[in-house]
Amino acid sequence: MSSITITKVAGLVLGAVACGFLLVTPRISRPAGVLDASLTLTATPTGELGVAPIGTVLVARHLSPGAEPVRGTLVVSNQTGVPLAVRLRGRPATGDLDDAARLRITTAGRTLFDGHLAALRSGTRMITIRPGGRAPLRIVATLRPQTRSGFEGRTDEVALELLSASTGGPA
Amino acid sequence: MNTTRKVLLSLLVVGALGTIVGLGAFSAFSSTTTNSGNSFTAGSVVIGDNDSNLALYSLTNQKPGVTTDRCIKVTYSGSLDSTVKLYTTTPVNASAQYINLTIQKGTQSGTPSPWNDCTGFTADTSGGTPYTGTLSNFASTSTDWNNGLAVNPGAATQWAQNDALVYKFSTSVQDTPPAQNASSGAHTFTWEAQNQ
Repeated sequence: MSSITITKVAGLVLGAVACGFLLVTPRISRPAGVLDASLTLTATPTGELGVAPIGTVLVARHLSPGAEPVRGTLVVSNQTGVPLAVRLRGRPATGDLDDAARLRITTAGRTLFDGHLAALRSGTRMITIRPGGRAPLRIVATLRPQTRSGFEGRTDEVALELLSASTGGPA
Repeated sequence: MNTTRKVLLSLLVVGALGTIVGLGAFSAFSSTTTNSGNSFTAGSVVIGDNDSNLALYSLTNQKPGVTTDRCIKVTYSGSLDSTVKLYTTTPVNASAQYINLTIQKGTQSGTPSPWNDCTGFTADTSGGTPYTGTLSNFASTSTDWNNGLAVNPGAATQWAQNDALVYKFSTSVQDTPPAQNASSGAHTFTWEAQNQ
């Protein structure tokens, strides 16, 4: 192969590499910071059940994979004269964090719910509260550690709906 | 290959590669904007009480001069501001004209036991006694939404979400001979909320 041919081939290859480099590098780079997710839980009293606090129970403004869990407590009281079987159900406003956010709800060492926010739409396990009695519910909110994307900048407000029915026990 | 052809070939290669780079450059410089998360949700009107389907009062063998108090807590948990009215749709017996009824509104400290006990009840300073009369008169003048007894928490003009009010019903039989054996018959009190 003559030197001129080698020069031509080399020039073509170098040019192709240079073009390839120009194709790849001038992309708009990802921003250095990532917006965290934000989750708010609220509760309102019913005729049969009182709640404390009324309104906002938990605010998690900086939910991200691996971040510290956010905790809150909701005290539910039976205002009636009969024992009540009580459970909670979640009503998200947007559903944007259904798969990413995870909640754990416990009372007196018993787990009522542990799963994704989407699953809370079906409700928690039931607890029985005697007339005039109270049950503190401990709530822990986190983001799944395996969550890589789909949570950035998303917000949701979840209303914790209280459902109750008389157990038929003695008043 | 003559010089002209060499130049043309070089230009061809440069042009082809430049086109590819140009496409990438235009791609890098494009941008978009979105408006996501749109949703629509209607408000709610929800009212409840703490009777758990038990009667507020079920009194027998009452004697004149004795007043019995019973309390019931009504909670509004709807998201829309509402007006709440109290009325009864069930007729009462004629002898209910000898049964005095006073309805007060207020708050109650602590958790009553039993649920309809009035210990700790404090009447509102503003309009704390929305009704005083006989059970018969109440049942004939407050029969539906149009003529129901409008009562608001405190000095408010409407019910907002999480507002609660305790209603104290005080009943007694009149000290008059026709009142003997007076009986109201079973009757139902209704609280209705309508959004404003």
